[in-house]
Amino acid sequence: MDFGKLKYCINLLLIFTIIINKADAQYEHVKFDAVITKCFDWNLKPVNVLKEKKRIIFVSSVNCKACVDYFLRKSNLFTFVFLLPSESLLEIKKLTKQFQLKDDHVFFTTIDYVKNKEFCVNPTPCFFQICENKSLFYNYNNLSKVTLDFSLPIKKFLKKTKLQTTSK
Amino acid sequence: MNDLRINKNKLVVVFFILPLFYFTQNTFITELENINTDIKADPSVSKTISYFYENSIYFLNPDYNDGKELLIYSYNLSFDKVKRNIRIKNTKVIYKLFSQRIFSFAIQNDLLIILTDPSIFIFKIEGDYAKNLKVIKNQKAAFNKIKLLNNNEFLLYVYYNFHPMDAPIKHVWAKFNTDKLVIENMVEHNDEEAVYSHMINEWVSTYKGVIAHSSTLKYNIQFFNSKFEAIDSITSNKLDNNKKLLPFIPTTVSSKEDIRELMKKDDSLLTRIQKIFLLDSSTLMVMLKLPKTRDCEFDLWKKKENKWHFYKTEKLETFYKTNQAYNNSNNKLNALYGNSNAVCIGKNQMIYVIYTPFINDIITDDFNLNKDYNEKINKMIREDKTYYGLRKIKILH
Repeated sequence: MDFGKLKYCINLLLIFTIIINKADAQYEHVKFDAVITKCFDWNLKPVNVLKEKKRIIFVSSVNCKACVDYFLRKSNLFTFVFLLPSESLLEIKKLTKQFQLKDDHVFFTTIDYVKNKEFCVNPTPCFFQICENKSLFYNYNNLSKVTLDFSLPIKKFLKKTKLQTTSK
Repeated sequence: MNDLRINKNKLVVVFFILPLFYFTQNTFITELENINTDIKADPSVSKTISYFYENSIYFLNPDYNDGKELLIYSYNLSFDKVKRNIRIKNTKVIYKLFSQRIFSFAIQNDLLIILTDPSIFIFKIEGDYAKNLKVIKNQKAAFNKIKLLNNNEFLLYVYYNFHPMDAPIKHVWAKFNTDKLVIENMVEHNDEEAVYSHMINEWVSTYKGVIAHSSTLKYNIQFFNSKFEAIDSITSNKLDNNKKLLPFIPTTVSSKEDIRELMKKDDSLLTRIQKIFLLDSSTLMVMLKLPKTRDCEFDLWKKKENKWHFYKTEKLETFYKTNQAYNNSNNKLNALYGNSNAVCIGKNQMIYVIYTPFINDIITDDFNLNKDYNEKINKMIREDKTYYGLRKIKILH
C-alpha cells in the first residue's frame, strides 16, 4: 500500500475517532425530553409514528432550509416530524413548498401535542431532536454531531487532503 | 310626570347616532368589502406582491412559475373582475427571471419593470404579452422595491442588512428613468437601523413626487422631493421609551441565531414603526408594532396649512382571539400586518389587500381556531377551492 494513502487513512480514522468521542461526551450534556402525544399524515389523519420509528428529527418552519434539505436526503436513516402551529393543511402545503417535501418518512404534529413548552415556544433555527433510547437535543451549534459528514471541519479536512494527494 | 317621559322618536335618534359618534371618534380604518376574486390560488403560496395602476390591481406569486411562462393577474376594481392578464414567455435573454424570486414590480403606461436579485427586467406590454426591452444588472445595490415617483420616474429602493460579501451597501435610493431606461441619482443613506430590516417593514411610501421615509426606532418621518431633497418631517415623543431599552438590544447580527435572538427581544420590548402609508400629499398613516402582542396601533396624520397634525389613533387585532365573540360590527382584523399579503395604495385613500386563501369574515360567539378557521380552510384545500381574496379598506376621517 502506498505510504501517502496509508497516512491519509490513518489521519481520517484519527479525526473520526476524536469527533465520535467528543460527540459521545457531549450527548450527556444535551438531554432533552419532548413527549409527543399525536402525529398526523399529509391529510391530517392521526397516525402512530412514535411506536414504530426510533430515529426522529423534529423540524419547524423556522429551521434552516439547508440543514433540513441535508437531513431529508438521509431519509433512509430518519423519520421527520414537522411541527405545525395548528391542525392546518395550509401549513402543511406551505412547509411542503418551503422544504420541497415529498418523502413518505414525513409526518406532522402540532404544538398542542408536544408536552414540552420550551420546545414549541422558542424554536431556534436548526432545532432537531433524535429519539433512540434517550432523547437528545441539537441546535445549530451541535448539529454536526448527529451525523459526521455534516461536520464542516471534516469537510474542510477532506477537501484539503484530497487537494494535497491530487497535487502529488 | 309628563316632563320625565322619554320621547320615543328622540330615543331612536340617539340610539342610531351613538354608534356613529363612537365610530367617528375612535376609528378611521374601515373595511368596505372582503371579496373572492375567483382567481384560483395555490395553497402553498407564502407571499403575493401587487401594484396598483389605473384602477386595477396587478398581482403575482413571486415564487411560482412553471419555467415557461410568468403570469401577472390584473383585477379591475371598476367591474370587480379579472381584466386582461399579462404573460411573459421564457426566452434565452430573460431565463434568469424564471429561476429567481421576484422582489417587486411596477407598471406605467405600457412599461413593466420587474426587480429580481441578479437583474432588473424591463418589458413593453403588447396586448396579453410583455416583450423584453432591456435587462439591467441589479448587483451594485440589489434594489428590492420599486415605487412610482412621477410620470417618467420610479424610486428604486433597498434597505437590508446584507452580509458585506453579498452587497457592500445596505440603504440606497435611486431613480429609474422610464424615457432613457436607465438607473440614475444613486444615493446612499444612513443604515444604523439595518438590523430591523430582518423584520416586517415598509418604511418608504411615495405619492406624486413625494417620498415619505420613516425611522423605525424613533418617531421620525421625513419627506423628500423627487430630487431626494428633504422638504418636511413629522416627529413625536411617542417612541422615546425605546432609548432606555436599546442597550439591551443587539445592534449587529451575524447569524440566524443572532437574528432569532434580536427578534425575541424586539417582540417583547420595543414599540416601533413597522410600516407607513402615504395616502395622498396631506395624509399619512403610521403602523406601529407593540411589545408582547401582534396587535398593531395606527396613527393618522393630516397636513393643514403646511404643518402636519396628529389626528387619530386606532388599535387593530391581527387575528381572531380564542373564546372571543365576533359579529358584523367588530369583525375587523389588521390585513396590513406581515409580509405575505399584497398591499397597495389606490386612489381616494383606499388600500387594497390581496390575500390567500379567500375566507368570509368569521361570525362566532366563541372563536375556536380549529373549528372556526382551520376546518374551513382544510375543507377548501381538500375540495381544491382556494382563491385569492381582496379586502378593500377605506381610510375615513
